[in-house]
Amino acid sequence: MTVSSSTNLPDPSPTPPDPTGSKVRASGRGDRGRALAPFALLLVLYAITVAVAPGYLAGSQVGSLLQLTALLGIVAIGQTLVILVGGIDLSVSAVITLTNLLSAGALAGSDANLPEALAIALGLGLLCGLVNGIGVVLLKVPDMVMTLATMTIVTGVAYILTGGAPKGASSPALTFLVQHRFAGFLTLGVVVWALLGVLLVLALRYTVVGQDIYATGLNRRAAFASGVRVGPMVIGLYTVSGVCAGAVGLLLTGYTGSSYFGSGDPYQLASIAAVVLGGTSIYGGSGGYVGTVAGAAITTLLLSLLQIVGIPTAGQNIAYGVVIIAMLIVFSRGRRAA
Amino acid sequence: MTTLLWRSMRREPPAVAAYAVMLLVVVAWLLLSAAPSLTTITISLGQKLPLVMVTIGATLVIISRGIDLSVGAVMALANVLIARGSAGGSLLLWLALAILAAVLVGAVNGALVAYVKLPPLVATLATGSAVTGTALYILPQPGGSVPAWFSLIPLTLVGPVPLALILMVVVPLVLWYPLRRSRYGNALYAAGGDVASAFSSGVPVSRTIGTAYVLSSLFAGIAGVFLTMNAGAGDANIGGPFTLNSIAAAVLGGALLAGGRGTVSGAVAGALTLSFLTNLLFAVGLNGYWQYVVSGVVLILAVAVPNLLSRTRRKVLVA
Repeated sequence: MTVSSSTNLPDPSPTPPDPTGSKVRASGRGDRGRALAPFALLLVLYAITVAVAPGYLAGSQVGSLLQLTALLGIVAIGQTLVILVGGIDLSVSAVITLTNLLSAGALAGSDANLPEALAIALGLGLLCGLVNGIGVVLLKVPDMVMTLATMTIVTGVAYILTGGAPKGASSPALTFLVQHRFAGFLTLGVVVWALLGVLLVLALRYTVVGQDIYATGLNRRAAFASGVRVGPMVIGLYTVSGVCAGAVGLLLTGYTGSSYFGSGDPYQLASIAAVVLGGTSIYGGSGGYVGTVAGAAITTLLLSLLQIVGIPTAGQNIAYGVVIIAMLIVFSRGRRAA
Repeated sequence: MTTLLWRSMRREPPAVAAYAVMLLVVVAWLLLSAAPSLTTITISLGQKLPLVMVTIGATLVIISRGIDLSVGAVMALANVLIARGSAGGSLLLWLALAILAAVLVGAVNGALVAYVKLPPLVATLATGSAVTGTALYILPQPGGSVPAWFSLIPLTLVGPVPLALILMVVVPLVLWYPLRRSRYGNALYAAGGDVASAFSSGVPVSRTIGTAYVLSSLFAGIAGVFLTMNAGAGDANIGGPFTLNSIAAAVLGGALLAGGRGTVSGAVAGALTLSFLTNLLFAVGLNGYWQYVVSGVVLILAVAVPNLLSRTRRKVLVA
């Protein structure tokens, strides 16, 4: 980061400071063993869950898990993309809460307002993401600080716009779409998630933009020098993350039937956990969305398991923290050995 | 004395700027308040002690080129330990336990960041989650209480001067020497400024950075003690806003997120500026929700403006 003063190359967006300077990265998309590890962990965790509560073999229970995983999975789309280029989005929680509150308010229980609610949720998500991207790229505010600041601002805006009192409710059509089980276990959220997920995996693997994302994550300066339009791309990825969070805010309205303050809070750490558990490097440049799918399922399953065993929110918070740190340690060890 | 003051002012322009901004905000607040009296000023200074303390810790970590997102959770942990414990036991014992718990969290953070070499952002976010969980275990619902005399400490007057004001002047003075003249202080600035050259010139980089996280948590614990005096009760979620506010205040006080720069006196000025801004909001009739927006915008501006200025300056030099 001190190199920039001697060259004329404009630093498109500085990577977050690394206090130790010992940044070693795996090249490319990682080896096969590491890609399979999250799925193996998921299977083990599912086996444990079924052993504790055999009911979790039933299609309806799997459907409930899928429904929750889909919400987290959609948030994690944006989080994966942003982390792949070496950023992070801490504002998803606040954006989800805001769009949850305002979409419920706009719907006010009537199907006629559904287009308006959709526009509000996606539009606000887009706006928040765009602000994040502009702050990171053009104002050169470090990713974490910028998204932490938007998180706080968006939380304040949510309080100001609602006067601190959540109002409104989901409409029958939205509730039906989000909660009805097509073919026994598929909900709208799951279908949307599956479509977006497949698109994203293909895009990351086979398009130029996908290549550019990995190149930027591995070495932002080199990517810029070899012609990747890093700035606009990073702004675009933060915008995608905002839109994903906005969509989840709307789905959450259908899922819970209404809105409340803090409804998005669990998704901040959970989305980062899903990405990290899925094997994507927190420094960017390696990993992908396939792993995140497993990571999202692990995170959701872990929370369900903790609830089955009767561990309250307190224990879930502790488990989150411990699991993330453990996974980070495991993956950073593997990386250094490679 | 004046030459000393002048010399330190020239050496720390960001801190001087921070005090200038703070004075502006304070004067605006005094002008807009209905009837400023010694009592209102004392109360308001007492309320600012938690942010001042946690910002000092945040500044030390930022100097080391790190970040600590667990401070809000640590403050809450100290808060619930004191409020829960002192209801049925010895207050002093639980105060000591609260500080000990805070230092312990700091040691974990420091070990994870400096020795295991995890990114500080995710590591402290994760420990913060675990600490919040622990606080919720100790006190699932807001409650508990503290002795009345304990709640009155921030409102104490020493002669005509509020104790809070004395603390805000004395703490930076006391910390100035170890930070600027001791081996640890020099190591901290060196490790934050340029890790490679600090390492090659024999600075124990890992130990230095790890200690910064311990100190950050220690100050978060102290902030939690003052917060408990102000709140008079315990709440596992009480620390939430302090994480962002401590970073915003540190940056306002001249700490550089890229590491290697920052002062304790600047931290005090930054914290006072940010919280007097909140007072100002109330004085002009905006409701409390606006402080979220203001904190966030202030943080973005405090980071972005110097960035953009230094970029134009560099352009001028190149041209």
